[in-house]
Amino acid sequence: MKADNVLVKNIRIIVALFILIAVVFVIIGASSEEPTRMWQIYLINFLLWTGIAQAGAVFSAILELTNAEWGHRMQQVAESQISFLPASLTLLLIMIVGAEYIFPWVSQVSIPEQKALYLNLPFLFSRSIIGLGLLTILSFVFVKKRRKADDQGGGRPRKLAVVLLLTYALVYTVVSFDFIMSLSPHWYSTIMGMHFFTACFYTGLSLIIIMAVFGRTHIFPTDFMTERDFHDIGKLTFGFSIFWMSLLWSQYLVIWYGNIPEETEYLHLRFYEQPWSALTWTFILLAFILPFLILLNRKGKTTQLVIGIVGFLILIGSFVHMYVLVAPSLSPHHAYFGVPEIFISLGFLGMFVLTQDIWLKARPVQ
Amino acid sequence: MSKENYFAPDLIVDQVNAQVLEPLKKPSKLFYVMIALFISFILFGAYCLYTQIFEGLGVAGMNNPIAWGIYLTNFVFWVGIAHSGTLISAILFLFRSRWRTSVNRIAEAMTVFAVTMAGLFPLIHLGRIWFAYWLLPYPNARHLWVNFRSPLNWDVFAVVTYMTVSTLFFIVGMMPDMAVLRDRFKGIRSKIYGVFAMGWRGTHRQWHHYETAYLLFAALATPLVISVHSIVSWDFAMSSLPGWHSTIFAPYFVSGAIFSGCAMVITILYPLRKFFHLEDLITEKHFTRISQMMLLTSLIVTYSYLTEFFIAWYGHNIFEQESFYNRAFGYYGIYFFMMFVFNSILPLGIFFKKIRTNIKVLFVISILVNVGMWLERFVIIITSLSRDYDPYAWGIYKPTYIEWGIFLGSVGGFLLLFFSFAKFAPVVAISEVKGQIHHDKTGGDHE
Amino acid sequence: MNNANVRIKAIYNNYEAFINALKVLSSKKELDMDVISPMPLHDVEKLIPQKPSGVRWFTFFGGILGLIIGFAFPIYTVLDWPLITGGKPVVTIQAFIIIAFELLILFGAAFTLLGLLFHARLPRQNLSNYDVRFSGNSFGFVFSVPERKINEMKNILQDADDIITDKLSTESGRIGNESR
Repeated sequence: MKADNVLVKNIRIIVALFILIAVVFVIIGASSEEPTRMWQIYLINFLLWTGIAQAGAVFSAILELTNAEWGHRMQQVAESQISFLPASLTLLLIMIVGAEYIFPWVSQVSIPEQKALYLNLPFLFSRSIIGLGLLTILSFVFVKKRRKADDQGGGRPRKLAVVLLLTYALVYTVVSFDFIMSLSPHWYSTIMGMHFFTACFYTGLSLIIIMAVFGRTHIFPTDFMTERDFHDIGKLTFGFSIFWMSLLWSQYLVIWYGNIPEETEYLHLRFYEQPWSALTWTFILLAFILPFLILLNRKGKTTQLVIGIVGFLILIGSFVHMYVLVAPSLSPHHAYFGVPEIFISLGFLGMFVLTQDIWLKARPVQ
Repeated sequence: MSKENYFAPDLIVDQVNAQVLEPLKKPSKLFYVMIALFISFILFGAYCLYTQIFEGLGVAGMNNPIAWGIYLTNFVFWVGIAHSGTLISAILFLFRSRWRTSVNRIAEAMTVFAVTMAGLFPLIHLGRIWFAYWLLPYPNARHLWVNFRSPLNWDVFAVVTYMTVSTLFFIVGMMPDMAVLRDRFKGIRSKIYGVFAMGWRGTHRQWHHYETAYLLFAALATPLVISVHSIVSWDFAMSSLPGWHSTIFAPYFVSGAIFSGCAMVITILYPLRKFFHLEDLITEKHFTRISQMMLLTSLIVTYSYLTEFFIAWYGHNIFEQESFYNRAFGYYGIYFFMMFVFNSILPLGIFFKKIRTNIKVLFVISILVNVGMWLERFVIIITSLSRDYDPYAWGIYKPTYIEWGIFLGSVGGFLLLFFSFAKFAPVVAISEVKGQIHHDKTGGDHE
Repeated sequence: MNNANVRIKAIYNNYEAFINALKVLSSKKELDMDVISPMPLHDVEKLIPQKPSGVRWFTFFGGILGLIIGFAFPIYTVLDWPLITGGKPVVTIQAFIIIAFELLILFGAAFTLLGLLFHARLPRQNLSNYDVRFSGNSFGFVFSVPERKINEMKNILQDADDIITDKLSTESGRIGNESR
């Protein structure tokens, strides 16, 4: 392991500072007159980083099941992302405090009695804590068994990988219904779950790429990935950019064509009203159009710097995407993005980097 | 990591030609019996179609609320069957799955023949089949063009493109193998094979361009296959009919299509392998792999069923709720439960190693899945139409023997095309199998 | 006659012998030969490096053409007689994206076929510089050399299982280049 860079050497101090500032902003925001503004960026970051963290284990499980020959070392990089999951559970518990300001159906919007059977705080939080908790346990057990099988041989945890993937699809569907769909209490879309877990996985891929490209110069052995590995993950990312877009498009087209009031409201806000439509086009550009065009070319997939930049584009695009999924439902008239938002987001980033750093120090990539 | 061998372990390159060409030589009596059976299906179907053309659409059971009957069910069913062919030949090629070799040709043939059958049904459904050219985009006497905003028109483009591209892919993929046949036969058969081989010699330059072209075909076919069934699903989802208007329809239909297609591959592969003695080339491992694809797509389909029901309940839209209640417990409820058992519960058995390595059991499951997937389309189309928004316009639909006859005819047509293909063309991609065996034996790296 | 050409077809059943001969032959830059095999061989790709195939440009331009037609054609038709249907705008880009996508694939695939036929010089009828064993399990070379070099070549090809030589009637009887 190399630590020749000032930034890398002092990474824990830097991220601790970020986290500290974020905590201050969270407390100030939560006790202000407009707590929704703070909780909204909190939720966005929670979903984004939890999704990325979970995607690490999912990526590893998929490679395990498909016997992919190329991903052995990439699996180890991906797995380091799950280190954020316990922290994410803690962050979920903190959200109980602000639940009243996050979910409009708690006090602001009245919902039918039947719907209240599903949308009520005790049930919502117990199912998300159980679901995400189960996923966290499964991820850790899977990664442990897989690493053991790698080091000492013996049985591969293939069955566990299947269980992990199925649980992932199910839990993330429920999470998307609870934390995104229910923010517009009258709106519904059957594709939401599939769209959400695909988006999370796609974002996770982008972080694996960023780690693989930029970690190589600082934390990992320099030769740990060959050009062919980059080509393969480039192809995978390319495929997922199309798949993710096709799901988004399926949702858009059906709602746009049907033009049924309770569905269209959601779409109209995001595609035809400012400032949201500008943000929507931003994430389409960053997370789909640019990566698509760059990765179409073989050189785009194999040149490390280029694919690394693509990773950043997707990550930023995914952040905007998550922002557009959540924010318009909570504050339809104004897109808040000021100093508090930036520092809270940086705090989440710091938290993620910190946990990953601890993990990688304990289990360096071989 | 050691590479898994999917062929019989003692198979060598020299035997591939003989193995694949075996079926082309001496057909057994059973073969002619089968052919006669299929032709009788077609004749009955033709009689039914004749009746419908001369008597009018009234001979079919379609009525006012239920204007889309089993003709459209069959259309979606056959398009769905087609999809696994492109999946196995194109998508698995891009993913460098080694097991696709030696089953991809059969799957591609299935694609072409299934799309052919699918393409017939919208025309039959139109009633006045001689006006089928109205589907083409040209201005009519009043200078009106076709409506490009209509999903049905998208379907025309999608199906035509799919038919063309899968046929091209199929023919190009067969070119080197047709050269093998051209060189092994004499006289008129050699000439005919020669036409399809187009003078293929197998030079290093030809192989170089061929491999690039094949990769490009695969890269084009992959998004195509997803778009085609998405568009088929949008024939339904674009309307505002409860039970049809659902955002998940595109991925739901695509995975359902691959699911049914994989089932059909197993259904066809099992007798074909016995019939033509292809046990060395198509092994149990191929069946296991296809069944695993079936399991994956079955899970996605189940996920979609459950999501749809949950959202119908959650959405609190009275029409949606009623529509889904009717789907499960209404007049056609029995079909819904059959569909659920065949598509969602039975395939779960594939989780068990004993079942997924037992070809006979897989064969039985695959047939039931075919039935289940046909029922799925029936349930979606007919139950949603039978209970519209307005109770005054509710109705019941029962297919008549004419409709069943035409369906039977299409089954006969599909199987006849397939068996004739298996009789006259290489059912296994000879050059790819040779390449794979060669690389394994010489230790060269694959890819 | 020194400048009369002779066509040599060498057929190998043994792969190692074939590769050894190929190593010698591929070092001779002036020799325009066809290496024929029943399956694509990566050893051949390594020994005789080729430029990336031009087929992809056919695909690319076919796809672009399809995309343009796919937008231009529906837009032309709706503007030809503007008529609002289904409450959608006259020029409905969302709907035309689907037409354009399908035509992109259709034209892309059709042009790929054309590109393959063009680059592989197909279809062709003359199979005189071919041997049916090449589609069995034999590998080999087909090339033409001036008559005086024939012994040198036979020396290189000494491990071949079969060598067929024909004298070519025309002096410019270049054989190998027919399928560039």
